[in-house]
Amino acid sequence: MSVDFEAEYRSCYGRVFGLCLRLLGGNVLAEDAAHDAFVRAYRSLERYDPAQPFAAWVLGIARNHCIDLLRRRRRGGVRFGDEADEVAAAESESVEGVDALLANERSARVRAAIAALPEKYRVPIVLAYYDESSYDEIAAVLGITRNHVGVLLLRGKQALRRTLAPTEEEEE
Amino acid sequence: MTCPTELSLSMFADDALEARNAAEVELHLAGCERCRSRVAALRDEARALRRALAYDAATAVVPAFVQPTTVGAMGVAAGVALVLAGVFSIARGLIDAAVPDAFRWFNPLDTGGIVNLLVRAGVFLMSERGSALIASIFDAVGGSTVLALLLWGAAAVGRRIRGPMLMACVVCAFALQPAPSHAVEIRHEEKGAVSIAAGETIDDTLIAFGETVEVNGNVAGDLIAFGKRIVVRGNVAGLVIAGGESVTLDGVIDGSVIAGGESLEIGSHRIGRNFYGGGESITVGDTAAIEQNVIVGGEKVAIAGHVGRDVVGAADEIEVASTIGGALTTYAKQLTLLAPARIAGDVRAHGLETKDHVVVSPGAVIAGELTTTLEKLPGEKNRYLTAHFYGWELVWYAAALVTGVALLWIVPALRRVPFDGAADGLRSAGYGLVALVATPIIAVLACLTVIGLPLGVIALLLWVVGIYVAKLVVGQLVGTRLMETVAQRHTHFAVAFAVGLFVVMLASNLPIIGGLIRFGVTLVGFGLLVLFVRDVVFDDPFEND
Repeated sequence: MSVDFEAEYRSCYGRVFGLCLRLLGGNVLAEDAAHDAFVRAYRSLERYDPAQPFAAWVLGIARNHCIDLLRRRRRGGVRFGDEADEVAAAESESVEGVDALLANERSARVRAAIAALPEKYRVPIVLAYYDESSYDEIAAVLGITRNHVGVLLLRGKQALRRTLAPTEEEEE
Repeated sequence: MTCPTELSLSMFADDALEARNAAEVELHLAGCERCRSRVAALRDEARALRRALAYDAATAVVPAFVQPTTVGAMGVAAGVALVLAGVFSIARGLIDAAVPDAFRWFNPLDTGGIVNLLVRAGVFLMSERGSALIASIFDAVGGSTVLALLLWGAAAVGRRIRGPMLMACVVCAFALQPAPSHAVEIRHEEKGAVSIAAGETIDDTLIAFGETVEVNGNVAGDLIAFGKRIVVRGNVAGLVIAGGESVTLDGVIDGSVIAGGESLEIGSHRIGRNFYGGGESITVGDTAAIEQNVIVGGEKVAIAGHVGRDVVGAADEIEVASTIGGALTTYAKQLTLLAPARIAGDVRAHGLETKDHVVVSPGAVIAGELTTTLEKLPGEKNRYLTAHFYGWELVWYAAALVTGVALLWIVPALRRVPFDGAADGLRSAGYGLVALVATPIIAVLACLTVIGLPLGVIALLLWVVGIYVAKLVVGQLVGTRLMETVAQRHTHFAVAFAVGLFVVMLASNLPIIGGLIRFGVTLVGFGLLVLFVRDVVFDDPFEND
């Protein structure tokens, strides 16, 4: 085993913690989850392929662990909805207001809006735009189809646009 | 030409469309200004999301990495536990041999004794709430226990739910405000006598310490007296707590008496409630009248006079010559009933198998039944050879199976209780041990306060249910793991549970180590339950920091 686990731990803890924080939405939860992820990594170190970046490997473990936690919390598992229903809902909304997000350059407000999203939208958004996971990776970890991932991302973004759309008072 | 759907454009902007579809969209974009600007806006939006979600990893405080427990450490822990268990059982054996049978229930290492003691303590505390002093002490003790429990809970589970927990503490602190403070008068003489003269009246509770404490006057509250020699001839309106080498109570006492001493003599014409006594020699004189119960333990106990209800005595020798309104229960080497004893209820004598264990002299009357229980361990049969054993185990299994399947069906999350190897086992066993021991203690204490009573009762009920469900949880866990390892496939939860439960039942019935396994299973299962409840109840996904 040629990995210097301690050094790797120190160097990628921040990213792992960030992912847990964005997925779970609480500092304490994120600390626990990040710790658990590293413990799992430590235990399965012999399965680690040094050809792959260590950070990516641990992030993968953390991602799965957080999804597990979310599933368990929801008892019956996180429900990502019926794909067809979500498609219909997504298409019925107009694209206008795309710039709602852009207009809100104050990231904190966007972040708060993301944190307030229902889990089924928040998780894919965090995975896609924080974790930079591909649609296929997200589909695999959530156990849904790739197209469904696209729909959830679109619906999530539509919800964000609604939340962040400037109110009439602000427009004046 | 129709424009691509919103979904296609969104996926295209994320570079997630399949090549063929992407090419089509690309072709369309070349000729559609509106869609081009849509895609550009979507890409800008994605960038804004990335910026918003970005987390500066450098700001994270990196906690030290704690290496998970290894198998070696587990081995050491198991070894230590075994050694402790060995020492414990040897100590228990020694104490068992040394403690006279009459006091066996008092042996702190005897679990039956502990439960007995707890129950007795609980019954005693409940029955003595009438005294203002005792009540305020209980309110304080019980109240602070509940408060401490809440604070501990807040600290343990609840950086997540700190707010509600603290709120609950504040509410409790208000609700538990002790009754208006009871006035107390303290008299203290290092050497010499504390004496309350015959005409004197103490309006409050009196606490007296001295070589000799002599109370000839009246006390309107409770009396607490400690000294070498205690004599009470006056009247006490409340409770009397007295301890000394020699304690003599002759006055009229409206409350209960709790007294301990080398020699204890009761001649009071009236004790309004109960008499609890402990000492080398305890004598209740023939003029004494105790309206409720007598509970005494000592070397030599002699009871005459009148007792309104039951008498329970534990001593080497017990002599009863009194009229007793209820039953007489004794734990003694020898019980003698002398004339003019008249016992309205039953007499239950527990003792050693010796000659003349119970002597009823002519003139003594037992209106109820006399039963003698002699402590002699019957030779144990090999239980594995009895049909009775298998029958009951089968009933137990069937009942547990039905309960467990129903439970796992109603609460599916219990099928996925997290368990990740030996370290988790140790962790949950730790939680289990704490919860198993602390719950009944805290519940009994909580029962002492008005606000805590329902909480305490609920906690006790949950505790009992938890002990049962603990085995089911472990059964489920074992079954799932077993099916995954052996069958290499996912089986229906009920099948896995049935298998696991069977394994657990089998293991707990192994000779010699079965008891240990049963105990371990209960600990781990109880701990897992506690952790599970904590996870379900206290994790708030949308908490803002």
